[in-house]
Amino acid sequence: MTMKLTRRLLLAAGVAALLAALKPGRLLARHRSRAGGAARTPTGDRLAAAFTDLDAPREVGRRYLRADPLEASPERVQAFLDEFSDLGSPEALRQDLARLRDRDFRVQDIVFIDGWVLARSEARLCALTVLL
Amino acid sequence: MIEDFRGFEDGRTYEADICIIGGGPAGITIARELIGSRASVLLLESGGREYEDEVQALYAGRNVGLPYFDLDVTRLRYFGGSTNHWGNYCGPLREIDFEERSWVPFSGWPITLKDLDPYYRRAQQICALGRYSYGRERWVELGLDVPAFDPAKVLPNVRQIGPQLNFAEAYGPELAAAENIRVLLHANVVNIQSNPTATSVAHLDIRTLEGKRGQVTARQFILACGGIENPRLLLASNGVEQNGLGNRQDLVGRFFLEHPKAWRMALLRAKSPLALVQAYTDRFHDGVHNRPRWRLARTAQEDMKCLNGEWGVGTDADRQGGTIAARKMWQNLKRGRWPDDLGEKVWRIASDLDDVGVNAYREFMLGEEPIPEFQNVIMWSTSEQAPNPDSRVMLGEQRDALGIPRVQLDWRLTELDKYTKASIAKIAAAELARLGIARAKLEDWLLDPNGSWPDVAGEHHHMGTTRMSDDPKKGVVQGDCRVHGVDNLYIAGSSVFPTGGTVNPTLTIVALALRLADHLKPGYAS
Repeated sequence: MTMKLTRRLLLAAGVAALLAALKPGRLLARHRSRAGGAARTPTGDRLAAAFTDLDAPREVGRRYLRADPLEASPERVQAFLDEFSDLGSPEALRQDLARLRDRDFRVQDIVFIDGWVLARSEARLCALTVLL
Repeated sequence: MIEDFRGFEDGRTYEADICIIGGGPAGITIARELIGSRASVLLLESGGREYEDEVQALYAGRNVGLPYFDLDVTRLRYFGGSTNHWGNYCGPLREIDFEERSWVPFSGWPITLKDLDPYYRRAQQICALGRYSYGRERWVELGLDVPAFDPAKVLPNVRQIGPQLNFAEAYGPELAAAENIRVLLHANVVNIQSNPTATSVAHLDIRTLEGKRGQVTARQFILACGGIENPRLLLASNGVEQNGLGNRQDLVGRFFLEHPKAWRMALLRAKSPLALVQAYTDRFHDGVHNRPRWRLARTAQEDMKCLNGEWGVGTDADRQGGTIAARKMWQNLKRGRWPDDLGEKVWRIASDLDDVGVNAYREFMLGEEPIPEFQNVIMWSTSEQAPNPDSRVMLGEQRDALGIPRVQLDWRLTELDKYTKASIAKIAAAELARLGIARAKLEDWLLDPNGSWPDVAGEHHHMGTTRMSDDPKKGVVQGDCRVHGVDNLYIAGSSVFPTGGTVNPTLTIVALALRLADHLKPGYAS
């Protein structure tokens, strides 16, 4: 059954995506380990525990990846992560995300999830929660 | 003087220097401008001073294209024309609207905004509007915070909404008192008779509905009957040229333009929906109401290769709700009119008393615009229509009571029109999200390349059907509004617009009428 993307879900996805942005390097590591068939890492477990709700960003991420499967490639994910100046600093990540969002909206690099308009960076963060 | 053709003897010939066909805003403006000149002016009006069913029925026709308003509802046929029911929503066309744009087929006027600008300023006064101010400075005057949207994408815009202004009531007395102006009511033009080579108008055949006939001769004739009736009369005047007068290039009636409206382009989610809606409600300032909105910047149109467009914020409030019923009732009473369907309105108010009460407090105690209860905040848009030769006014098979073929309207839009709506929605949604004002959920049809545009609607703006171009192969009238190849026939009104921009047309109609009057005056200088 298709999940309807509600306003609550969308906003939750935004929050969760921001949280996810705090640990993108670990998300990528997890993605890589899963791609290699490895077991879930302790880091991944800790990260997952940091989210109050992963359903929303995952739903957004799944829809985004379904529409553009190439976004799941390690190269694209790495390229996205390279856009962040300091993956270790929560404050820097917040600022980078705001910058990326502003840039995306300015150049119309937007995606549509069930009609909702998201900056591509927002959608990519949500996609990372699926790849986790 | 104002007289009634029905009171004169049959078969009479009326003479004038200038004969104006149509007593709407264009015709009245030109006649008024000629007061005191040496020109004897005869203004022919089909209707009388009041609405009459049998006269209005002459406007009936068929819609054979996109769903459109009934053709005898979307305009009024009596002295004052459609100013008898208009809302006096006004604004000027923008610079880009006059330009030839490579991505908009058939675009480009032979005149520029600079040519029209002085006339817009005069038209502003004639339409009883405020200062000639429609941009950012107007928002500041209104006390609005101007969001920091990217000026390369969208720009602040305002529609001025003047008082209810019936041109016949406002300016009829001046015409009545003028020695050189004669208004003939109930004088229907049934034929524009040209000379044998169709290079000039010889006379007009006029009739009353009762069968009285007459003729009008003049040095110059001005057709000012509106965007649907102007082409109808030219097409029906086919005694000399089979395709109608001024129609050697088969352009008369083609390129019918509207302002396609999408009432709901997107659902908007904001932290404070009420504050967002309030920012876009009318403000009374400078003697007029002002309605804030946004328009696409030139660079956005160039980058997106789309048409001009506007968007704003509204709600999905029930149009049948008590607050709207109460407002309509109050507006009628203020004008000394007893409201239509009074019982129904009272019932709607009674069954929605809480919302009516809140909004009465808002309007009368706080001086704010009422905001009827709503569920959702929405983004709406109105936009320019792409000129399209297949969107057209034609003559139908049936005839009206005067024997003139009834009109057939085939309103059509193109892919560019839908693409423009999607472009407006995407730009607006991105800017709203970028500034954290609101998130938008676009309607499905905007995102589906194959999706059809539901509930497409016009705005009672009939334009483009005798378009202006200096090239006779591309236009019916030249830059001075004279019909190509017909040396004494001019056209006034929105039918001469080659493109329609995004604004309500009357201010431009009046501005062009002033310009045409200025063009004619030197021949009759006192």
